[in-house]
Amino acid sequence: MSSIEIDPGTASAPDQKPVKPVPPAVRIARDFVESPLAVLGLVILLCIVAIAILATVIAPQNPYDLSEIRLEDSRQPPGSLRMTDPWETDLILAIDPTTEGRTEITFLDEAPFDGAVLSWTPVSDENAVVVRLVFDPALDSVPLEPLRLDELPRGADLNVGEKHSFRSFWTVEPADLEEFTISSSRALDQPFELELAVHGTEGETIMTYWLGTDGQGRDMLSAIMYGLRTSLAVGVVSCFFAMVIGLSLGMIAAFFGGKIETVIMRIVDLQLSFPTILVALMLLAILGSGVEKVMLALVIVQWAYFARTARSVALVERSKEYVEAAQCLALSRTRVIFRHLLPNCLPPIIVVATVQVANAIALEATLSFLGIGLPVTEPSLGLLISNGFEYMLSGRYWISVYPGIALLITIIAINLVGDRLRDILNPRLNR
Amino acid sequence: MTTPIIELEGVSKRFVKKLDIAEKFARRLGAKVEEHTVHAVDSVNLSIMPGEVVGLVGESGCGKSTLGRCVAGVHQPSDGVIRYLGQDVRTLRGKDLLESRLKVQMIFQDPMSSLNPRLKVSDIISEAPLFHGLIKRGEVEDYVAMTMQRVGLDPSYRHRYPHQFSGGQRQRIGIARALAVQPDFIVCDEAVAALDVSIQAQVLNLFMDLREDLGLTYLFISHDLGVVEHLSDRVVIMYLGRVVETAPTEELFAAPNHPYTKALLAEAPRLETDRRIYAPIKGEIPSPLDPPKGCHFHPRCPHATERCRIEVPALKEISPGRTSACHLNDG
Repeated sequence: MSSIEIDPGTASAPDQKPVKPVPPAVRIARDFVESPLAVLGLVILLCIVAIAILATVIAPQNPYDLSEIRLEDSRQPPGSLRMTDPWETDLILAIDPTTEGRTEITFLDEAPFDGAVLSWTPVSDENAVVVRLVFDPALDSVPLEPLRLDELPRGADLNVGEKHSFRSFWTVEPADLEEFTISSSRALDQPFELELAVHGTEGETIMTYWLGTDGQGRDMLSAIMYGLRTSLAVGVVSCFFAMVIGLSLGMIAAFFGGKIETVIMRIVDLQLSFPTILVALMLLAILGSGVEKVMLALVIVQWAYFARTARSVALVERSKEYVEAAQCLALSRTRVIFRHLLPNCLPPIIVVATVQVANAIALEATLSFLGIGLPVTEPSLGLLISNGFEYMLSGRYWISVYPGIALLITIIAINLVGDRLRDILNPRLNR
Repeated sequence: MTTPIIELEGVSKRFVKKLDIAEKFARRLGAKVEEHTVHAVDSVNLSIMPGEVVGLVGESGCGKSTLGRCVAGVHQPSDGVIRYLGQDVRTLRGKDLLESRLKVQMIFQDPMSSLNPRLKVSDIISEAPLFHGLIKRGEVEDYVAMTMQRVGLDPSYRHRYPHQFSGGQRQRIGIARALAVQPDFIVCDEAVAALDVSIQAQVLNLFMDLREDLGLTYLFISHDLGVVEHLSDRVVIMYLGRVVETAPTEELFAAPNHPYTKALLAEAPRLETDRRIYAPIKGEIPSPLDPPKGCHFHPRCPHATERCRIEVPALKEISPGRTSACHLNDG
């Protein structure tokens, strides 16, 4: 006792390190940033998540709102423009051939014309009337289909256009309609009304189908955004529940041991001995399809991975002395499990979770591709790929390939992040 | 005579590896499959008086840590009785049981793994007292500061995590955690073995200061005879789960009785100028799975006789305050 006398108040002074307190989260973030590939993965993943969350706001079209879809635009290649519905209106031209006259025609708002002036002059001594129709702007400055003039008086002819071979209307090029003459073999002494049908040619809009359209005329870009939303939601939610179940059972197995452990771990072995896709197929065959059923199937095939990891980690942590110390301090069992054991078991579980989210998305896509996954009303990426599959051989690659690429990028991004997390949180590499 | 603070009577701890279904089936068919049983601790009797420092010495794997954990309540003994202040701890219930458990605390060997890496120092120290209602939430700050000061830590470090401290500081945190529940009795399981020699001395001095200030009793488990000699009032030597000799420190180091103790002391490294020839104890420590019959030490004992191979020597008093388990003492 006498050889070394050091006052306990200052005893620790020589072995104090000038360490600034760094929360573990900051350390992890610093380590993460060291790998450019992982940062790229994280950035892409964040973008994907943002797109998925904001799909309803940023997508150019709601692909599942039937009023926004034109069947005429189906299977358009990438980069094609969206066409508007042709504009059309029917005008009644009331003409009294006995006197000179003039009327103004007004149009509905959506018509490309501000207005038109109709005037006519009877030709003296002849059964004819010269009609002038002046549009504002001029008729030939607006892209129009050939006009149709109908309900001419019996026996009347036009000096322009062409009469249909057996029906009553005349077809007139818009430029010829500025001034035309109606002549008749009979006397033109009664007022009559002509019907003029004005049809716009198909107009273009600013919207472009950057990734083409599918068989129903949906914009693929919007469909992919909505599909990502569904795929990610299904993957994350099912993985979360699988994690909760697997983590609890794995921890219980590790902490209590004995028969409980045997039963739980044998079920895990049984579960893992079947191919996941087979189990999922069987479950969906029994349960039927639907979002919640797909999620249930994913939870059932995935919890075992979490349980096995959680047990092995918890066994290691349980043997550490801080757990014995907690028991020695007579803390309650639940407190030891949840406050001491659980937080220390989380890092490997987080790694498994990221990888399993990617797996869940891929599995759900597979199921949807096989036609037993999500319903058509909530299409995921897998369903989009499956929808385009039939068009692949006819050269319309975009319907399947672009959702496939989106799926690929998502899964790769998640895996890059997961790999890096595994490297950082690996207890063998860190301390 | 005062009551011993801790009294062990015939305490045994066995770890059994149960047979699985296939092995049970094989045994039913006549195969020679046995359950593996490790006799980590084999009927140990020991009493420790208040204020005493008892050193528990033995080779690696002799069961000294297991015995310490039984005393601290981490393990339940398979057989035997542990009495805290004369009361069998198995008969205690509720508040008395909690009291008896909190009054006996333990300090661990590895200063890293014995602290939860996710908790701040203040949480590590204050968790148990808060949980058991020894202090109120508002008193945490003062209490933690007081406890940290007592073990020689700067209270301004209380918001740090264990990995930000050196080994010696971590061990102090472990001590603070144990002291926070106001124990009477502390089991130190190789508490300084993982530390540098200079830090060892600081921590040992801290133990002695705490003993004076708080009237603590220690069970000091170590394989380091030098540390035990320096610290203990009484030494207990264990070999393969059994106590082979107990004696007051000075007497033991002056005149060891048991052949194992003699061998141990002969081999303890000392700072002496003359050259010494070390004659290691022959052979390995036998496996506790299959301990030798009779005296556990007989395969390695230079004085072993036929009797030692058959009969287990009893722990007998050879002089006041000294016991030894050796047939040679019988004449």
